[in-house]
Amino acid sequence: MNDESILSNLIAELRRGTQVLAVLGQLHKDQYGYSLLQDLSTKGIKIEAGTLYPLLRRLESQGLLVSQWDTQETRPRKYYTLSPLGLETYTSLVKEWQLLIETMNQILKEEQ
Amino acid sequence: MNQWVERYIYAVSKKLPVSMREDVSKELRANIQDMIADEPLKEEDISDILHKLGHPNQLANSYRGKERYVIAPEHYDNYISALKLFGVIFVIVAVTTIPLTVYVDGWRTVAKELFRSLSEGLLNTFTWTTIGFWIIGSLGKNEAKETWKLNDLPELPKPNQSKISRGETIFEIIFGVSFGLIFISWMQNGFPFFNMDIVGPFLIFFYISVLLDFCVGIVKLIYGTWCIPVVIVSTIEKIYSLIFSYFFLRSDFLNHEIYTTIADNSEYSIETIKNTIDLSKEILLIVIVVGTTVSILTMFYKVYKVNRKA
Repeated sequence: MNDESILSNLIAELRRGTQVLAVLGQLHKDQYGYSLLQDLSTKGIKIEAGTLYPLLRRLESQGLLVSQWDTQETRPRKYYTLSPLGLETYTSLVKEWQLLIETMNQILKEEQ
Repeated sequence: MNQWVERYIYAVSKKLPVSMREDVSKELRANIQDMIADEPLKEEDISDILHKLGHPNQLANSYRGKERYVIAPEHYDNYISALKLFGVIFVIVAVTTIPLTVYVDGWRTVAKELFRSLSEGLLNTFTWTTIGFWIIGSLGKNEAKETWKLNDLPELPKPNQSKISRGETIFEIIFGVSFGLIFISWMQNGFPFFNMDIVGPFLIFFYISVLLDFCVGIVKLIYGTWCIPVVIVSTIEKIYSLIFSYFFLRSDFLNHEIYTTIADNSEYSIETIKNTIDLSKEILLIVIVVGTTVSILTMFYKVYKVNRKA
């Protein structure tokens, strides 16, 4: 494994940790897989389609999201949105995230 | 909908537990359709989009999460069918041998033996099938290569193949084999109608006939549709029984004492009785020839119909 791939692996790991939070943050309103993917990518969050779609299902099975098939349109789509538990979890995660940023900033500042 | 997309979805879904398959396929199809959107459907574009989703095995792994299992989900269906098949074969063998064992040993031993062999046999079937599939599962790791091509995707199964009813087949095997065995044992044990000097050499061919019948039944159970292997074995079996019936019915297999016995108890002459029986044999032969030909033709027609639709 060369230096570059070590670095890219570490970056991928860092991102992976933030993915759930980013996804939950976008689901205050109903979204289907592809619209969410586009939303995230315009906001600069890099997530693969092959990662996002299974992630949505996993979050649903954990009870953080609820889903509904919309068959009214020409293309049937599965819409996801936060469940009450999901909202609660999201709020706690955001708090945790703020704390993490502060701590990390502190550590990084000291190092400089 | 694009063939490649369907093949991709199939490749993913067949590696998922049955309970997830339908919903994941539907959602994946909708998402891919969204990704294709209004782009022109060139093969390269489709390939790009599918590659964005990753290798089908990789995607299936993500959908499944990190569950632990003895039987890998992609083998689960085959595992269940194998269990059923081996179980059924076992029960058929056990049941069809009943008449023979009853004949030899009497009822009580049979009931005891049957219970013992059924419970032991079924447990063995279960154990070895499970171990076999566990080994297959641990050997074939779910590889997800970095580079893959559209052509690597598995072919979609043909939808229109006409099914062969399992229940009917099982009944056919049990009935056919036990009737065949009973018939053979009757003849062997000097059933007075038969001329044993003539029938004796035919016995081995009766056994082959029963064996063929059994094999055809098993092949039908395995494939479950009128596909080429089933048609081939069925045709062989039918042609065999046709040739066999011809030679057997044309032989002088009846005991001549029958003619005298019937003549003694009726007003007909031996000559008339012999002629009547010979005529019945001829008619029976014609019925068998016509019946077999019709059933072979029906079978080929079924296969033709399926392939025309596909």
